[in-house]
Parts: sequence; C-alpha cells; structure tokens
Amino acid sequence: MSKRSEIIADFMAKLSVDPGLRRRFKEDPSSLKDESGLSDEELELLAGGGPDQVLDALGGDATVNCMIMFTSEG
Amino acid sequence: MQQGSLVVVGTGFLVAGQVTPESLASMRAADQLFFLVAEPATRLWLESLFPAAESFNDLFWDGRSRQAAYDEIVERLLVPVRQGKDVCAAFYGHPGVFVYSSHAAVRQARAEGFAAQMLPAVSAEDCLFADLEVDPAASGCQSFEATDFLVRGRIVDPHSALILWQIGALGVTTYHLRELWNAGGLAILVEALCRVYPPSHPAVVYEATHYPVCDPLIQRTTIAGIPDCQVNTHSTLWVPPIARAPLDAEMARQLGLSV
Repeated sequence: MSKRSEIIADFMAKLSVDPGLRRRFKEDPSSLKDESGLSDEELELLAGGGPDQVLDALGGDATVNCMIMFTSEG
Repeated sequence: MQQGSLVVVGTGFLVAGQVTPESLASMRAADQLFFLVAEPATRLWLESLFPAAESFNDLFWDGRSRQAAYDEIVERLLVPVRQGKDVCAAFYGHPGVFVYSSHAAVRQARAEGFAAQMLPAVSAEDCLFADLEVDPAASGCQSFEATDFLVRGRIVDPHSALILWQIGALGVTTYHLRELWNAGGLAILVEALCRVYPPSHPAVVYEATHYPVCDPLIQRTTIAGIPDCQVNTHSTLWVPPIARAPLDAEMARQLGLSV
C-alpha cells in the first residue's frame, strides 16, 4: 500500500465518524483539500466515483471479495 | 480459569464508523489483535491504530477451501491465547453473523478453560433495514443463506419478508477472486422463488456500502429480473411480503383484541 492509499484511508475513516465532515464533502469536496491532504483530482474521484473507483484509489485489494460464509455441507 | 483470553468483535461496514466504543476498547486492550476485513480502507485504518495487528487475509487464495481457511483462523487465534495472552479478533460486519471462525474459536477457547466473549456489532442485515427503510417486525422476516435455502428446501411464508444472503455464491465452497462466483445458480434460485412468488413480484438486490463517500447499492427489480442485476458475493436479496397475512379472528378474540 502506498502513502497515498494511507492518506485516503485516513480520510475515509474521518468521514465515517463525522457526519458534518461528510456533509461538507458532499457539498464541496475541494473545500476539504487541506484537511484531507488529498489533491483536487483525488477528491473529485472520491466524490464522483463508485466503490470500484474508491477501491482503485486505495490501491485495489483482492480482499474485497474475502467473504466469510457458512458452508451448507453436512 | 486459565490465563489468556479471547474476545471477538465486529467492525461493521463503514471503515471506522460502525465500530462500537466497546469493540474499539477491546481492540485497544488486547495483547494481540487479529483481523479480517473486506476492503483496504478498514485494513489501513486498523493498521494505523494497531501497527502490530495481524491480518488473516493471507489465508485466502483462489480455489482454496473456505473451511480450511476458517479452521486455520481458529488455530491462529488459539495459539497466543494458550500462551497466556489476551487476544482480540476483529471481523468485518458482526462477528457472530456468517462468521464460522469466531463461533468456533470462542467455543474452543472455553473448552480449553479460557475466558472468551463475543461482542455485538453492526451486521449487513442492520444496514439493510436502515438503507431500505424496512421494519422486520412489520410482517415478520425470514432469513436464510441462499445455498442453504435451496439445498434444504426451506419453507417460505410469502406473507412475511424474505432475506437471502450470498446469492452470488450459490453452491460454492471455495474462495474465488472474481465478483460473481456462480452466475448459473441465480437462474436456479429464480426458478425456486417462482414456485412461491409471481415472477413480477418486487425484489431488491442490496449491497451495503463500505465507504462513506458511496451510497449503498440498491437495485429494485422483480423476481424474474434478478439475473439481470449486478450481483456479487456481497449481494443480499430482499423480497417483500406478497400481502398481509390473513387474520385469525378467533385467536384475536381470545386475546381480547378487537378486529
């Protein structure tokens, strides 16, 4: 994982616990440039993209499909 | 009680946002933290808080038996517990919902004389109720793992809601990297559902979001339209009731209810 991935993950963690920050991000992503440490391009990508784009920005990871399941054998 | 303990917790589905204070405190208090999460943001967040935490992701590779991976998780958890350490294991979602290893590890730890506990957390079902704005108490709610639903011929009451888990992984017992593990299984599932519901009955293919910048994936369709939806291993099917169940007037009278 790159340093950029870590910065994006840190921003995701902050957004996930702060509805006010999330609202500001939705209204104007670029206003969080300094707080997030992300570039305008990265903020636009996060604001406009879906989960696949976020995953790409995070550097991608096969663990996205790492489901935990009961098996039905037996 | 022997020295050494195990607590299993859940991280929910939104990086840090659904981790309960109780779970976070347990992670902080542990001598050793293990985790298994579904995407990289949560992993990076955990690693930033707990640099010594160990991931279980290395136990999964394409084609591997899931059961073998789950058994290895249990064994990895028990090794430090037997050394007298206080161990915490964090799984995404709820640690007691669709997580074989957490239940097995708690049972095994207790059987060996160690303290072991499972803490509640936010499950995919909790996210579904909130995101679809449906109340499982309104008409009742039946919940089955999709493969189990098919192979055991579960009886469905169409007057209650139905939840089917893992509709993208029907009949698959190994781990795979691809998104949809069994496309053919969806057609079989639809055939089974059409024995209970009209093909035109509404259904929702749902996926909770992992990221605070993304909305949950909510695909409103019909029973017949399920195979046309974007389905992956995280997809859950919600089927609303056909109609309200008929009222038993005599029972209502016995209970003193006016109908």
